[in-house]
Order: sequence, then C-alpha cells, then structure tokens
Amino acid sequence: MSCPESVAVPRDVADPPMRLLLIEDDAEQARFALKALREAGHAVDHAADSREGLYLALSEPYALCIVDRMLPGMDGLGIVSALRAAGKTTPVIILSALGQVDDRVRGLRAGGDDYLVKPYALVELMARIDALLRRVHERGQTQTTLTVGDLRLDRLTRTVHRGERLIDLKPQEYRLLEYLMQHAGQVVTRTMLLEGVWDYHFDPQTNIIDVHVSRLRAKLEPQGSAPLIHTVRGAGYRLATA
Amino acid sequence: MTLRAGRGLALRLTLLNAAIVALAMLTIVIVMVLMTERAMREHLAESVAAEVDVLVADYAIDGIDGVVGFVQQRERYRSEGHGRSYRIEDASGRHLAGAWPAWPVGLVSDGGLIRLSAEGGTTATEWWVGGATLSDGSRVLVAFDDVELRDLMQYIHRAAAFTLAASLLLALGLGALIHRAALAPIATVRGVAEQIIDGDLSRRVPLRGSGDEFDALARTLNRMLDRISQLFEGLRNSTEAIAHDLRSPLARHRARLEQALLEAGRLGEDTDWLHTAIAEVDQVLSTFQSLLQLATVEAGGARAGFGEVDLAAIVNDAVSLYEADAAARGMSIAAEVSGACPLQGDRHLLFQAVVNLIDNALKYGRDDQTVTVQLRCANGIAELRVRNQGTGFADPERAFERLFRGDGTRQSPGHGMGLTLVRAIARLHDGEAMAVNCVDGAQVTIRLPAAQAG
Repeated sequence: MSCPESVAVPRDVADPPMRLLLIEDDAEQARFALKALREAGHAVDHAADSREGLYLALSEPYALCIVDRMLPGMDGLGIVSALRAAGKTTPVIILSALGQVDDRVRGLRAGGDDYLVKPYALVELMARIDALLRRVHERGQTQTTLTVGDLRLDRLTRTVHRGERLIDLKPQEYRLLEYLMQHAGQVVTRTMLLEGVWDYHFDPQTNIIDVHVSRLRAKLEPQGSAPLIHTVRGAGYRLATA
Repeated sequence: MTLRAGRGLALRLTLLNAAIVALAMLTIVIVMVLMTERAMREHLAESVAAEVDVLVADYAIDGIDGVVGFVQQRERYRSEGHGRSYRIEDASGRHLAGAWPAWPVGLVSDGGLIRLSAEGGTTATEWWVGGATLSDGSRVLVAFDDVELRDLMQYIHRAAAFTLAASLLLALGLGALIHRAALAPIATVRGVAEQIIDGDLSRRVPLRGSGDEFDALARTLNRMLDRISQLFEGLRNSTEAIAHDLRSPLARHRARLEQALLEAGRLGEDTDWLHTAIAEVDQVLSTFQSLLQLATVEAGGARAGFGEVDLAAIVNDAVSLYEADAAARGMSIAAEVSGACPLQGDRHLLFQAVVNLIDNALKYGRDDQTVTVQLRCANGIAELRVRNQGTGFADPERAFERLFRGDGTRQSPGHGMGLTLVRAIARLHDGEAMAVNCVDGAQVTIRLPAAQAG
C-alpha cells in the first residue's frame, strides 16, 4: 500500500480535475454506471470502444480509468498494457465477466490496480473508486499515525487508543481497524475488507465479516461512547465520527 | 473387488474345462486298458493253444518219446518271470513227464482252456491250462502262468493313472492361464467403470487392437460413455449457460434497484423492500457465480494462479477468520496444524476450499461442540481433515454432488456447491476429497500432493 518516499507523484494527476474515464461497450451498463458516478459527484467521460478509449486515456489527464475487459476490437487488458507502456500511471479498475481468480491475476499483472467482477454492485464500484483515488492521492506519504475523532492508531507501536484508553486488539482486529481508518469516511464493502485485510479472494458463504466487525465495534465503542463504525445498508461499513 | 470377481468366473471355467478333459481322458484310458488286457489275454490263450498244438505235432513226428524229450527240454529252459509247466501221461493216467502234478478236474483234452489259481493260493497268479489227447490215448497238458500279463497290466494301469493325472494338471494349468488371459479385459472394463463411478467421466476402455469380441465390446462401451458424457456435458453446459445468460439481465435489474434505492433515499421513502429485493438478487447472482467458478475449476482451466504456497498458513488464516463466527454460534474450532506445508497451488482457491469445509462443519455441527481442523504434511502428502460433531452426512457418497443438499429440504443457507467446489479444487491440485461419517459427526478429508521436503 505504501511506496518509498522518493517516488514523487505529480500533484496535477491526483488533484483538481477528478475526471474519470469509463470504457464500456454495453450501452445499458454504461448508462447505469455513468448515472451513478455523476450522482456521486464525479465528472465522467465515456468511450464505447477500445480505440476511442485508448486515445482518451493517453491524451487526457484522468484521475482514474474504468476499463471493461471484453471490448470489440481490443481486449481491455491491451488498453491497460498500452497505457503502462506509454508511461501512464493512471489507476485502472478492470471490469470483467471473467471472475475467476486466474483472470484476476492476469488482469492485475497487465497493470490493473483493481479488478471488479461483472455483474458488480454500483456501490461496490463507487467504494473501490474512492479507495483507489485515496490510495493514489496518499501515495508516497505513509502516515505513521491514523486519527479519526478521538480514535488514534499508531503504526509504529501498533497500538490503538480511544481518547486516553488503550484498546487491546488482536492482530486481525488491528489490521481490520487499520484498513477502515485508512478509508475513513468512505464506504468499505465486505469484499474490499476480505481482499484488503485477509488478502484472499473468495466467496464467503456467510457474512463472516460482520462477526469480526461487531467484535471490533464492541471493543471500540464501549457503552455510552459515540459510534465509530457505521453499517451502510446494502453496501458495507464506514468508519467516521458521525 | 475387481480381481475377485474376475477370478471367480475364471476358476469355474477352469474347473469345468479340467473336468471335461479328465472325463474324456478317463474314457479313452479305460477303453485302451480294457482292449489291451483283452488282447493280451487272447494272446496268452493262443500261446497255450499253440504250445499244445506243437506237442501234438511233435507226437505225430517223433511219437510219445519225442514229446517227453521235448517237454523235458522245454522245462529246462525256463524263462525269467514266466512260468510254464507240462504234464504228459499215458492212457491209463500214468505220469510220463513234466512238472505239473495232476490232471486237473474239468480240463477236457480237446483243446479247451481252463484257468487255475496257483497252488497254495499265496499269490494271485493264475495258470492258464490247455490240454490235448493224443491218438494213442495219452494226454498232454500245457500250463502257462499269467505273471507276465499281470506285470504288464500293472504297468499299463500305472501309465494310465499317470497320463490321467498329467492331463488333469495340464488342463487345470493351461485352462487357468487361458481363462485368466481371456477374462483380463473384463477386469480392465471393471476398473474403468470404477474410475468413472469415482467421478472421472473422461476414462475410456483401452482397445487392444485385436478386433476381437472384447474390442467390439470396448468400442460399444466407449460409445455409450461418450453418449453419457455428452448428456452430462449438455446438462452442465445448460446450467452454466443459464447462469451466464441470466447474469446480465439480473445485473441490470440490480442496477435499476440500486437507482431506485438512491432516489427513494433522497425522497425519504421506505427502502426496506428495495434492500430485500437487492439481497435476493445478490443471492441468485452468488449462486450463478459459484456455478461458473465451479465450472472453471472443474475444467482445470484455473491454474494460472498457481505458485508456491504454504497450506499451513492458509489453514491458519481460515481458522482465524472463522473463530469469531464459531464463537458466535457457541462452537469452537480446534486447529492442529504442525509446521509449514509448502505446495504448488492457488492460494485463493485453497483458501476457498478450507473456508467451505469449515463453514460446512460449523453449519451442520451441533451447538456447543467443537470443529476439529487437522493438517498433516509428510512424505509429500498434505492431508487436511475437518471434522464436526453433529448428525453427519445423510449420504456421504453424495456429499460432493452439485446442488445436492444433505437435508433434502433445500432450506438451509448456501447453494449446495460448497463441497463440490472443495473436491474440484482438490482435483485441480491433483488431489482428492473424501467424506465419511464418524461415530459422532462427519469428516471431510482432502489430500494433496505437497513438496517432499515439507
């Protein structure tokens, strides 16, 4: 997640023009995605074929590209490879109907930053866009302390305090909290937690994450204290003071 | 099982074959022995008659003195093992020559033949006695014993017995060899059938290229198996096609519901039904996703993610992921994982397999009980056992079937593909998965080839 300090990120890539590019040939899916993204406050361009998509991605300073794998003309992975070959570091989320683990491996190897299996939930796409944008934005500046309200996580000592109270966490709970705090204020889906905290891509047959979150919640929020971890119905969780 | 069934028929055929050969040989030998004995008896009788004729002829030339001299000479040159005796008496019955003691009662002197037991009766030897009356009223008697005949017959009987025994052994031995060779293809067919029953539908009966009946049978069986495979594939493909084709409309449906949810939220309307609808669509999509994942893994096309992984770490991760869930159910997980267990595999798929096993064990285990997770890694084999305490499988044989639910009600959570996927993942790693019922619960074992040094 963290890069060496020396890697400088051009500020103009991540900063003001938060334009996104969606390369998707399915008109209806594109319509839904565009609508949801625009409603969420993003400026989005849409390319319906790979040539136009690659041209736009190479010439415009997008904050992030969303690329469908199955495109007429060129495999979506080809676009990603071409982008990387041209020295573009624009983060890319690959969309694919091929949901198998090895497809994911191929997608990430080609230079994708995240991989989302179709059909995806719009909330999942949005959460991942937010997470990826934040990740890119913070690239090269690893924070040693994460703070949300009166909750403080010290990465050097691996300790967590709420106010003055030291909270005793198991390693797993620590990593879960660290991930939530890194994405403070954002919706984090269960799949993102499984991938980000446990580092496994799999299909949990039960809501296994919920049990872990409720345990963490019990430790962070003793009776009477303000809630920190909020459940976002139909999506996941959000760590925030309000 | 395979060998025993094959040998049963081979044994029966061999014995039947030997019995037939033995019966035929016995008949031949008996007939031969009887005919030989008869011929030899006739020969002996003829010899006696011929000797009598010689004496009669000698009398005609040399008179009674000539006959007496002839007999004395004959008795002097006795041959070994072959007794002969003579008696010559005149018309009044006075003994003239020869060692035979007395004219036997019942022997007529006109060329007839009688058989007499030896004096003393200690041996079974018989004397074959013939006689003739000469023209002057004197009588000649010739007696040959049958020692030679008996010796020969004894010899022939022994030879016959030996021949019978030898042919019986030969019939048994050769019969066994021939039948085993002839029935070997049946064992092969059976072996292939067993492998197919075990789930490897791609197996076919090997052709021997001899074009015989077994090859014809193998060809027919293989065509039948091809047909079954086609039907099976067709069923699987249609399931997959349904899963695949319904995903897009369902995804659009879900997107519309999500849009409606956003708008309803903005307008402050009740959104419960939308959440329920989305959750149900998600459930269907998840089932389809599992079907498609299973299809990919079963097709063996998921090896791109293979690399050096530590199964022990994967098992530990899965256990730690599910400990909280177990505790929430009032259960516990006891993990016995010793050391590292390196092997070539796909860590995500292996994790999925372990998770499915633990999830299953928790789901069907009794409350307040323990789920045991054991990983042993030795001699190039990694063996993972997940055992629970509960009612066990309704039918362990069917535990790995697609969409099969042990409870038969289809009411429990999940989509009945958890264990199917476990087995597919085990096989993708050149391993196997087995389900058994224990005294108090169920156990699923997966066995994978691991790195030797582990």
